[in-house]
Amino acid sequence: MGTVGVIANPAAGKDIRRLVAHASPTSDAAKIGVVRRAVLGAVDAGATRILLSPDRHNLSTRAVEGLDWETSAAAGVAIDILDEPAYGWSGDTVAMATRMAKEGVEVVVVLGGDGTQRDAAKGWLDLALVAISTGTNNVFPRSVDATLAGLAAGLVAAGVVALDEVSHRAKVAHVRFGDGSNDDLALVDLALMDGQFTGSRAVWDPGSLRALVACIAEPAAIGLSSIAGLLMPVDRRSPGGVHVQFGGPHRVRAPLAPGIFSDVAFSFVRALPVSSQVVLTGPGVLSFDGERDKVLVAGATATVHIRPDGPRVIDVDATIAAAARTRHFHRPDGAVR
Amino acid sequence: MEPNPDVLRDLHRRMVRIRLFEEAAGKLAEAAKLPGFLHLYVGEEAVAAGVCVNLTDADSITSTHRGHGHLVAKGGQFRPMMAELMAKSTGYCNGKGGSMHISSLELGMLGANGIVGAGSPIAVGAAFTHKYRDDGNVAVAFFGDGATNIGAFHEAANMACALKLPIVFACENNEYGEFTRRDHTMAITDIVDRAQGYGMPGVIVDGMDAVAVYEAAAEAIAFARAGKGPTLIEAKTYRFYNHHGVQNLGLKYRPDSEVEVWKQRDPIFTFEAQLEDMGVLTVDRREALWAELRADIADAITFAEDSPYPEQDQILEDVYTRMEVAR
Repeated sequence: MGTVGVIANPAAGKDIRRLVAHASPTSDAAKIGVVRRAVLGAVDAGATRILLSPDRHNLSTRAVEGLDWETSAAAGVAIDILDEPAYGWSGDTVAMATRMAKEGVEVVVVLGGDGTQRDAAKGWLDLALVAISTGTNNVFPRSVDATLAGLAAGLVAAGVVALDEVSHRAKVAHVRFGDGSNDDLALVDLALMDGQFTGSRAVWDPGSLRALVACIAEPAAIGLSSIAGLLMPVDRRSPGGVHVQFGGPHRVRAPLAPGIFSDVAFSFVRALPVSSQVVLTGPGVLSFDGERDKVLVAGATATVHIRPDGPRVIDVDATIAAAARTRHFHRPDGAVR
Repeated sequence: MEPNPDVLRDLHRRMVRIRLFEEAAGKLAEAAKLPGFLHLYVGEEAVAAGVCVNLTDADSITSTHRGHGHLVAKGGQFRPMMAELMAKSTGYCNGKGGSMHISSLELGMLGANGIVGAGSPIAVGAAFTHKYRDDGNVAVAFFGDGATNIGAFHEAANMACALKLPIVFACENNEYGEFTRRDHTMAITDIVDRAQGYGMPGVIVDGMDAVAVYEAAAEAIAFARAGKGPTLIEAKTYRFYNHHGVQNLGLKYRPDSEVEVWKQRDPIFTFEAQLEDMGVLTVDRREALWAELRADIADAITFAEDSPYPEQDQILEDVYTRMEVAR
């Protein structure tokens, strides 16, 4: 009882959007600080074990080395790094999440953008998740300091706050391919675009868009999902999604990348009930949560369903508030922990 | 974002030309027919091709000790290249540069370089020229991960940013500086983390994916041409052979399993499969291209072997510039 996992994606926040848009770089030094603060937050909340993912950049190792565990509140807390190989690709996050499920981790803090959160869900679909944004234009993870994210994860893992009281079940856009290749998923949106390459993966050209299925369509967002959010908002806690077909007489202006606003031509937008499906047909390239990731050859199909069976996403604010209401943070007069 | 079919075929041709030139040079070196060291570019073709397909002859590049690929990608011809590697007088540098100092000013290839990190300051000079003359051209400095630990790189990057020069710093991060793993010589993993310290944008691309490199290079070069200043592209890539020579497996400083993983991502074979899926390339067309270029290589080897060495009285030619001194 009381194990918090931490998965950090070293690749987040460094892609071409620092050149084609106005995204800020996220250095490894910044990420090491985020991991360290998440660990310290979880430890202070009462977590008894912290299990970190290894990575090719040694973010986790560097985050925990040099911390003075003997004299800190961390005395007696086990800090371990998973003995799982890291190869330096997105499959690492998938494998780490799968392994953390087997290790009995109660809550996982995932540091990265939408793509990293998606990979974690691919490895462990219904994980209890605190999602921290270190990527570029993020919709799924919220911007919150890791100190508080770690604190919330620790409070839930240590049983101070019940998971069900402070979490919601994320929606997932499940994708099944006509050619029999492995099922896939998106946590925010799935788009079919003109093109035959995944290339530099990021998406910034509105002219290449053909169709969008968004399971999170919130107006105050950056990226493809903002198109759906500005036309027909469906927030992350409401059932179903939004389907937009591009090309056509209508126009909507949306921030497709940090600092980049575009007029996007569309023909229709419709609400997508939970039971319905959308079939996307190639040729084209599919973008998952804003990254080109799979090429569909001519005639190949991808069938999309939205179901609320994804990660149990922990609300950081609600968690800390719930603990505060139980006077969890009060100390007896003069007591030193 | 994506290149059109003509550009895709151009990228493919440039990569296959590099691969065939390097494989042929490797065989000649094994047969002791090439003097000096040989640093093969095999595995990294997508980087040189993806960048140089966005350049003209009037744009400048500087290269590294692993420089054949950059010259081929910039339009280098096999005959004078092969002759130069054999130190023959018909080579690009009349046989006096060899593999590590090959250059072609006509193609804007300002030289391979035997000194790690030494190319970047030269590219900064070229970029300064392009800005001073306002000719709309750009410079690209190719260098490796190890070069960024060298003082010359720091001075070059700093000066380029201070003067807002039209230059792209194209880092080929192949994980090893000569025989030493990157993490033994630097405490960071991504070279791109250094970009913000100089005040320029930096992006990471998959250096085994020609289209990914093309997209980033197109944007970075357009950025430079527009007068917006330097950028850094870090292409994650891998050399299939040893630091020098042709040994690939059984090396003491890197595991064979790692080499095998990278080889599965061969930039040419994966690209060919994509082009064939798209219908941009047919099997017949692919086989014809490889055959055509293999014949070009054979011709270049014969040409080089039949060419004379420079004469003794040519030793100082092209070494010093004759300057008229005003009296």
